[in-house]
Amino acid sequence: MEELIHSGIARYEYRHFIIFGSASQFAAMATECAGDQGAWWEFHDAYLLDAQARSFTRAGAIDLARDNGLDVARFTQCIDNEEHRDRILEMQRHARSVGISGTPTFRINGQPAARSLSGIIEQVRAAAEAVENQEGS
Amino acid sequence: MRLTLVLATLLAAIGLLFSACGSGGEPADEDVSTGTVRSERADREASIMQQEQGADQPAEAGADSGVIAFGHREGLPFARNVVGDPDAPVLIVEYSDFQ
Repeated sequence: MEELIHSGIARYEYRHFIIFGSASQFAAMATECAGDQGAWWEFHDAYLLDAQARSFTRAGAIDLARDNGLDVARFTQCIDNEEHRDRILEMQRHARSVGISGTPTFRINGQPAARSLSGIIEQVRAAAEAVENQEGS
Repeated sequence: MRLTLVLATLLAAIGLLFSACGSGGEPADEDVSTGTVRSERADREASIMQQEQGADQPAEAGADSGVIAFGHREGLPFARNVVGDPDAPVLIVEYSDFQ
C-alpha cells in the first residue's frame, strides 16, 4: 500500500475510531494535540509501534512531545483541556453513520474496501483507472 | 473649468470600472488547456472529502502540514492525519484504534 501512496496513486487518511475506551481516546487526543504542532505522524507511529508510548499515559505523552521537540507547555495544555475531544467524537459519529463498526476498517473513495490487503490494492488500482478514464473521456 | 473637472472624474471612474472587470475575469492560475479536468478533479475530491469528513469539519491547513522527514513515509506531503499527494485520484481512509 505504501507504494501506491509514494507513487501518487493514493492518499491515506487515518481516522480515530475508539473501541477500547479511555486510554485509546487519550492517545487519539494526544495525537491530535501533536498534530497542532506538525507531529501527528510521529505520535501515530509511536502509539502503534513504541512499547513505552503504548502505556498510553499522560506522562508518556508528554515525554513523547518533548522527544519530538514540541512546545511541551502548549501540548500539555491541549491534552489537559481535551481540546480535540469534540473532533474525535465527531469522527466517531461520522464513522458510525457510514457503517463503521470495528477496526481496522478501510474505505476507498468513500466506498467500503475489500477485507484483504491484496483486495484493497486491487481496488485502489481499479479506482485510479476509473478516475483516469473519467477524466480522459 | 467645472466641465473639465466633471469629465476628468467621469474618465477616472470609467478607468476604475475597466480595471475591476479585467482583474475579476482572469484568475492568475487558470490553465485553459486543463481547466475542465482540474475543476472536475477538484469537485470530485471535495465530494469525497466531504463524504468522509462530514460537512461540518473544515479542511485542515497551516502549521499541521508539511513533508514527512522520517521513516518509510519520508518525503511524502502530509496535512495532519492525511499523507500523500493531494492530487492523488484515490483516497484510502482507515478507521482504527491505537490499542
